Amino acid sequence: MPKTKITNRIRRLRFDRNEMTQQELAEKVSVTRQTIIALEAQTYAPSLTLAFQIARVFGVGVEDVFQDDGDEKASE
Amino acid sequence: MMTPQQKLAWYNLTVTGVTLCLILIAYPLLGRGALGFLGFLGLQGLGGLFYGKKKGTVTWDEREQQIHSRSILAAWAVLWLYLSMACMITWGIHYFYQHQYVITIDVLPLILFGAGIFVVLTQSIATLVQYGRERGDAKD
Repeated sequence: MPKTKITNRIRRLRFDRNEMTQQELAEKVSVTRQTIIALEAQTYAPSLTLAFQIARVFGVGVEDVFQDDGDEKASE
Repeated sequence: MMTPQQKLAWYNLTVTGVTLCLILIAYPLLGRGALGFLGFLGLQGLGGLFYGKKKGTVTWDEREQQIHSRSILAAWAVLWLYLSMACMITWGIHYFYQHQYVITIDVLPLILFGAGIFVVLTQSIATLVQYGRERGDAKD
């Protein structure tokens, strides 16, 4: 099974939302700030639940926040 | 800033390391009596204090859970390897060098203490390695 890497735009979206801090986002989705750091560093792929929660905080769809590199390869 | 799980891993590593050092230092003086320092391992029981609830602070989430599960898995694997090796080597030594099919009774607690030490060391190191691997840009 090919391994896909989940990338995200959380950092960009945070700055677009009045420079929301990592701590503020962490509190909104009930995770530790370290988890947000790991997500932004693309070293941790979140569960579906957390992905939806994060997308809801930013008021966008999940696919606007998270992408997997298979998406890019497929569109090439 | 470290999570409680990271603090616990460092704490357990420190307690185990200090205990083993004390035993090594005291062994030439006290002989087998130095093994009494193994009692210091009981200090690991205080590790639960790292999870004291601070109001409004999240200390446990899905990523913490994942790291914990993987660490337990690693510790479990090492535990069985250790027990297999410990049993074969201990009984093997007794058989080949003393031609006995039984081991002395004081070896058994040592095997169990060794198992505990291996489990704690493996779990702590696995935890810290995973945090280290996932360490990212901490900037806000």
